Amino acid sequence: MNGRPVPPRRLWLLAAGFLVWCSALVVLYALHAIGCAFGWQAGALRWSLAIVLLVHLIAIAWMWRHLATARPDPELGQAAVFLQTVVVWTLIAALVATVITFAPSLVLKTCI
Amino acid sequence: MAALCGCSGPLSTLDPSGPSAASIATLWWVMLAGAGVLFALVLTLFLLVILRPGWGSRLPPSRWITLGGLALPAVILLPLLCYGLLAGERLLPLPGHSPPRIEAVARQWVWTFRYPDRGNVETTNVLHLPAGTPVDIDVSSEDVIHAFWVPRLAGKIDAVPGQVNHLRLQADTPGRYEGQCNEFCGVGHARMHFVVIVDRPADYPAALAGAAATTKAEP
Repeated sequence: MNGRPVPPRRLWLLAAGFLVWCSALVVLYALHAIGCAFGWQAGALRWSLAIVLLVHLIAIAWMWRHLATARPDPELGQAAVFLQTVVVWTLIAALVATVITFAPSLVLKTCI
Repeated sequence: MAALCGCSGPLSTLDPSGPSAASIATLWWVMLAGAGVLFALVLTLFLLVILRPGWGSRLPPSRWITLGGLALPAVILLPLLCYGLLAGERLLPLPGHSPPRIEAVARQWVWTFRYPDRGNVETTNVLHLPAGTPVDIDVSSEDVIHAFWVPRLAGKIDAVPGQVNHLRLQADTPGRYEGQCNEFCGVGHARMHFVVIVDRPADYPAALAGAAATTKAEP
């Protein structure tokens, strides 16, 4: 047998990386719209977008580092090891997706 | 072949008649080619697995995931993404170059076009453009959200109340084109279309004046 079952609340970790991705989408979208509506300078707007993106990347990278180095509870058995592996890979996927999806906003035209 | 039969016609994006629409059509073909390559590769792998049981079993699952889930999409999707972003940048009506402006005002279920460079005359449901000249369309709405779209000339852009969106379009050759509201805006949405008449530059002032007089005559 695998020992104690993995607590269901830990399954939320599967969504953690892409929840940060969702946050980046909403915040960057809103910031871009607000900056354009209020006529911010292109440089200031671009720096603001870059800082917001960097904060989100750091958040995902921190979770990745924290979970990749954490030792699964031995009492939870193989299920916990499997869950940790999947969570770490979803965090890597979220990190790559965040870069690919949002980094172009830093180099494309800001407002027209 | 069934899909290709719909490539022409007054509302076809695949029968472009201007640089913006041509760029969008090229992007569509490039995306189709990319999708075709991916589909062919996946189908080939599928057939190999079905027809030759055990094929590929020497590759460990992690290698399959890396190659099929990361390398393959990256090689095809990333170039497509870059191409799409560059094509989108080239379509933007950037400031600095100031072509003639026409205001397109939408309301349920009529398009009114105003020509500030031509004495602010108005036409209803008929847009007149000079051939071979880029024109900036300032799109807005008086009630709900609509969308301005002339598929053979440019991409669509939303008409949002309280906001003016800009679309630069150019028609290469004189002729008659068609436009359509492209955002559901109420029960009359499907009938909210307009005609775009592209005149030779020499004929444009007279044609516009004639159309404006007709609009004025119709209350």
